[in-house]
Amino acid sequence: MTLMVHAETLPKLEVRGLSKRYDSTQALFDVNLQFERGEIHSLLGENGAGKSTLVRIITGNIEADAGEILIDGAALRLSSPAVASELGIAAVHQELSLIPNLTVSQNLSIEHLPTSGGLLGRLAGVVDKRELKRRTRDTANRFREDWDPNALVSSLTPSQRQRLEIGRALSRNATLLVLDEPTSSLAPDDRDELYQKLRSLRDQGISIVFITHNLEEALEVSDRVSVLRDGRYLGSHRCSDLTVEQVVELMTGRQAGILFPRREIAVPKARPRLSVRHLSAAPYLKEVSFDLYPGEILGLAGLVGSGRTKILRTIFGTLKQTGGSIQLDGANLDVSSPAEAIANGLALIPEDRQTEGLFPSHTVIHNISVVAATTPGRDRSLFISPKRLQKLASDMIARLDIKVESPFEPASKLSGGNQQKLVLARWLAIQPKVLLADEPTRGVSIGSKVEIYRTLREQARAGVGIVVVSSEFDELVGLCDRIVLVRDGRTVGECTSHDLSEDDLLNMLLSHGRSVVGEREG
Amino acid sequence: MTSPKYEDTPLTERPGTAETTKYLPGRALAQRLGTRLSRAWRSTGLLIPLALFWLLLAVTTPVFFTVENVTNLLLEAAVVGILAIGTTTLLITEEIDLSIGAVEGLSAVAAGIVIVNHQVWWPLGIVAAIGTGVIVGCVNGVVTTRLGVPSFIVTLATLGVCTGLALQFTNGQSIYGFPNDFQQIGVAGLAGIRLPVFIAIALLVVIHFVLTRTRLGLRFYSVGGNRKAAALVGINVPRVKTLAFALSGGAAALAGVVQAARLDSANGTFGSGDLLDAIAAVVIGGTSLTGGVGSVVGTGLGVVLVATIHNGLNLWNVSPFWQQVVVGLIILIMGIATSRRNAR
Repeated sequence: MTLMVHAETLPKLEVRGLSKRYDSTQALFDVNLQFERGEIHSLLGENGAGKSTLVRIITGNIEADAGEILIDGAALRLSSPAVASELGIAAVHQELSLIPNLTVSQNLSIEHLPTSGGLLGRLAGVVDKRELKRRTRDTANRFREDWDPNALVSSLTPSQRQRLEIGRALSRNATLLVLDEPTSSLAPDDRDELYQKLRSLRDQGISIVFITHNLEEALEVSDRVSVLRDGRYLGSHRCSDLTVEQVVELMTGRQAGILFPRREIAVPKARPRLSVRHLSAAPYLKEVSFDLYPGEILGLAGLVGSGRTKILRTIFGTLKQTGGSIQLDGANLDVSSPAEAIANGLALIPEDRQTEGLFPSHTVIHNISVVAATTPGRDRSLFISPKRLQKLASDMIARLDIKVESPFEPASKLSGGNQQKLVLARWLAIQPKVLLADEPTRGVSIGSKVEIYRTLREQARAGVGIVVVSSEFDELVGLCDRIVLVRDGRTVGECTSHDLSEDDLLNMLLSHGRSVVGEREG
Repeated sequence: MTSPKYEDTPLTERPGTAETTKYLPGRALAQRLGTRLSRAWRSTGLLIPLALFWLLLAVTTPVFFTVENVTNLLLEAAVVGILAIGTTTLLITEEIDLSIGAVEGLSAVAAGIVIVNHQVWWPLGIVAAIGTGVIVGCVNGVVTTRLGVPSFIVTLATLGVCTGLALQFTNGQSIYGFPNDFQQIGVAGLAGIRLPVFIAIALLVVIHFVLTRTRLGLRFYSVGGNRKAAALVGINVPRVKTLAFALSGGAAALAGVVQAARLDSANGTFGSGDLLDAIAAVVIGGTSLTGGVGSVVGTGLGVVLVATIHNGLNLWNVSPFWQQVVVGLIILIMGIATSRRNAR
């Protein structure tokens, strides 16, 4: 009787004693973990904790050195992604894999396009459009989506694309879905929609493995979380039993509650460092006004598309200013290129580290010293001294606790957090007056976040004015001294962040925005 | 109530933290040495096949190690080398110039028209020739960076234009009868090494210095490594790229002058075969076709290797047509090797 174990009571997927070693690092060590049927299960851990290695093993991309994988109780070998997919394991990766210039239908069936009947059709590979459309309708019905089969993927919103991606992954009868950072490109509303989608999939019996850096999200959406640190499994917990602080403590092994550095009690309101008045940049920005004081960290809060990034870009000279004024230390600032902005003491950490921040094939030294080395310095010399740049880099590596094997290794080998520190370091090297930081901790581990927050606060204490744009409200509330609200290309209000909760902020953003827009238009 | 199916680990139970990789000055020094060596290997690793090839040629042909043959080999290498140094710089900025061979021909013709046809003092002829090359390079650069046309298309177009103009101006004939002083540029020598070789080496040293020790050099690498990031750290990307195009055009023109002086002849079709050799030398030398990576030292070795291939195959009586096939295949093999290395 004991042998008659019902499939329903067995975990959907279980790993036992899983270990994996890369050259010099033990990526996973004796990991035992169970993913139940019909649960949303978040994998948490800092960069390098072993999450992606674990995911790569259960999706068949790599094989473990030791240990076994059981699916529905049967030990199986996942030797390739195709095998894993055959066994019902589907994965959606951070970089979406849809092809933008093809239609929804074509993308859904891209891996096995139906050919029209007859020998000729099959030989020539003529695509059967009717069958294509039928499949799309079926999949859409199954997941309660209202896809237009003929719409180009490029015309879909990020959240529609995300759901299409999930639909495609599940269309081959998958029962376990792995989602890697699915919400990093989504607005809050879209996130909620995705969570609902995931819950309804769970209720249909699908197991979901969720990977995110956003701990609140993990706790909100999952049933259970499992924590990895340095390749070791630290246990699974029901989300209802956990707080964010406890999770941080588990992940980092250090006391929580010190995520954000202490704020200054009151920023002395002397002359503003940066004074923005009635700034416009058609068609994105209409009416932007705020002051930034030396020693202050100012947050710009707004929903995706509200123009937060555009404000930074206009100040930095990459977006054309069409009206209003910007003053730096009381003098008019009129820049039309980043070079002029930098010469005036401005610095910008761009939103997208990979495409706009990093020089991936270049050394750590070059990534840190690029600004100091390419903009003419005080010495006005045409020449550079490699020694001096190396010195600069090793100073910064020590100061920001950047984890590198060697300062000569390419930046692409570093983790996201350390890459972001390189981008930050290059600006600290030239001691800016104003630092514009666009999503300074996106896709960065907790440990690196703490380090980045500490550094930003340190800079502020040294008199730098800092503007932070962030989609994470806890970051704005925890880090900033003041928050300016942005909506539809306008600044619509401001508040101090003492005693402010994230919900307050969201409410203000929604209500404030509406009433002000209403007034203006009324 | 927790489910009986699994046991939740208590929050207090934590294994010790494994050692994390930290930056240590001592270790960095050792690795730095290692990186230095592996980098040096990347550009000088070519020395081994080169030496083996030379040894093979020395054994199989009595002529290879004669003064005359080595002089010739280096002379051939010098002209391609001057072109390839410009190409290296341009490839580092993630652009390509297909017009270098055509510019070489057009500049030689420009020198011929000024010096021979108009009997102007020959140094002015050189100025005219190099000016022609720089102008074509600037046009390539401006159209590419300001109008956003891919450099492949732009320089393919100027290739046609330059060759056409050169042939039209000379009616397809060669111009000869350069003054003796001018010809000395191609003929004069020291200890069996001709002046063009010194010119090429001087250019290599200067450009190597520019690339590794000047702000401009770092801008070249930055623009090629990530165009958008370069713009956001204050680099004027269009200007830097245009400068690299101008350098490429100027170098091609210099090659044309050297060729004209050496042969006492200027012809629009001069450089038609040199484009292939120059690009082969650059990729053999380890410069990435996707920008941001490369060195002129590697290119120098690549140039000597390509020249040796031609020279050796000549000595073995292989037809020049087969030689082209060989050079083409080498480009292909290097391309495959590079993409496999990048894939890892």
